[in-house]
Amino acid sequence: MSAPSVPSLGVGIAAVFRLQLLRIWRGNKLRLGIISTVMAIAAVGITRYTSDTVVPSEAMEKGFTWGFFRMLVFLLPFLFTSGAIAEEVENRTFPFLTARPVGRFAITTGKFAAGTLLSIGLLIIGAVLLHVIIYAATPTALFEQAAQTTKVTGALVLVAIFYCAVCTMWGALVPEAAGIVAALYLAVVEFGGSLMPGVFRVVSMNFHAQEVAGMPKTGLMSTYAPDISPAIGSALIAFVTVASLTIAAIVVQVSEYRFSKA
Amino acid sequence: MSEKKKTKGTEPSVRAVGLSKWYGKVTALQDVSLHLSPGIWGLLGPNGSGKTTFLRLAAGQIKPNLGEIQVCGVNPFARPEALRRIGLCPEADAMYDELTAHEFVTAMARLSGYDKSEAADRAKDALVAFGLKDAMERKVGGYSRGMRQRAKLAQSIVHDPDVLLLDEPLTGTDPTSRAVILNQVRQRADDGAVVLFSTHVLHEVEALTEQVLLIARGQLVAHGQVHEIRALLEEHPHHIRVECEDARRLGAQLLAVEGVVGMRFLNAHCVEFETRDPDSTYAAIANVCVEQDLDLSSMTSPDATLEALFHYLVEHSTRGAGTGADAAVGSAVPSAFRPKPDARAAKASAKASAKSKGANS
Repeated sequence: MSAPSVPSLGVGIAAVFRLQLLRIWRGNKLRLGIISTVMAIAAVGITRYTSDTVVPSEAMEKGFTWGFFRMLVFLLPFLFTSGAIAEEVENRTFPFLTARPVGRFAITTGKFAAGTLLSIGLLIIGAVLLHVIIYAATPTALFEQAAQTTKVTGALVLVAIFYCAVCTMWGALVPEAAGIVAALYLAVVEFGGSLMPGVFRVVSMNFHAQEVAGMPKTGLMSTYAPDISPAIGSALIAFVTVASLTIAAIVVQVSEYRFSKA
Repeated sequence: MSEKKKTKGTEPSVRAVGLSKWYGKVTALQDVSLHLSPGIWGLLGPNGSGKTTFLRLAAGQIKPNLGEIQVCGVNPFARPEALRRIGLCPEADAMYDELTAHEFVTAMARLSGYDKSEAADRAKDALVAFGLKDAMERKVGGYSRGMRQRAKLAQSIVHDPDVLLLDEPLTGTDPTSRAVILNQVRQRADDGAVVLFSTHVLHEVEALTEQVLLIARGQLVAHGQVHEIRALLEEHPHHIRVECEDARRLGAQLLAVEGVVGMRFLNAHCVEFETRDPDSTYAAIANVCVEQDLDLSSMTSPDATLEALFHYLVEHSTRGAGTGADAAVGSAVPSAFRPKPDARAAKASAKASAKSKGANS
């Protein structure tokens, strides 16, 4: 009788990733995410084709602003990552993972990766669909505007990865209230922050992502909002993403998660 | 199961020295020291006595506040080299309900480092061993309590662990499931694993093993073989119940026997003796029956069951707990059953003790 050797980090992350993906696939969250994406796209598409006054590029911009930057980019990471660790702790299934030799870093990373893949996957598919639907009647614009759509989608992906990291972090820090804390953070700091007057909106990575995407500034006293270069904005988002994920990994590594229901 | 990817390690064991754990002001475990070698060990104690806390410490789920615990020579908390040798079946009836049993156990095997096909094969074997062959492709959310328990147990053995920690494994199981589970537990122990299972149902332990750890109010009140512990409880009078044709005549004859400190007539044909010298009393009863030509129907000891021993020890622990008598309870544990710590363990114990004194001051 002897147990297998300790799996490598890559094998561990892949095993957790697959398990998490399978669980999301079987659950209701993926369905909810798909429905939300379809509804956001449908709303913009219907507006585009039912109004004679709407210009396609304007519809595209509004669709990205309201449908993606102000809804889906918050909703999808929240759906797929805020409960990744917290629900395991709350449901008392976490010992199945922590009693395995994959290592806690692999657990955190694997769960984050699965949630992130689904979030950015839906965002990319949604952005492509939106682009095709909006410009379907104007084939020239379909190709001319592809670069701008790609740029916006890249910014969306960047900030979505950060939101996945931050939701994972809150799930690790406060598993008993991960959903509410993550929702409050996203609503107040990120959504609210992106609309705050002037310089205050720099606290929101959503604002930086919109700057990276080249979206027009909106919200309170938007003319006073600073101009941030795409490089600085991207670096800042990447930095806070790594910081959030590091905090999550450290917390999971050292926490006992006392399973209060036990 | 395939032997691929196996590695050899140190001898399976669980060693705790001066182990204490508390949650805020609640002491869950206090100064527990023990050494478990391969075999089946029953961890007995009433609800809230610290059984689950000990198992969580051994499984590397939580960290001790004082003292240390080692599984196969390694501190298990977040240590993959220890965790690879541990199989844990948690008490909570919680599983991934959206997965089938086969998917669930396969995923657990993959988390242990097996590749896809080997993990699937091992999962299948483990589920078949626990009698879930026909139900393994059904989602566990639709399982009965007993089936869920067996699926949980299957995941705990899928990687052939050297140390198997089972928290109340027979909870909610029917007699058929129970037989399957007990059989698997015995097989694991026969293969050389340390199997530690907690329960508060005493006959479950008696059905499996003689080696017990009795825990009450966070303290280890006894540790060793049931009969050995029993033999060393000298201050606890032994009871012998005898059924014969004339209980009073037998009682009168045994009054003079040394060691007999009391007797109680349950009816005209049944008498219960209380003795401090069981061996000579048993011999005297036999002699009297022969000499007096008494027909003896039965001779039993109600103390021989674990139930009596458990209640006796728990009662003593409860009396002393929370006072200076805690130490007395500790000393009531036969020294023969205390672990013999090596130099390193003794050093850790001394360090834990010093820390404790520091905290108190």
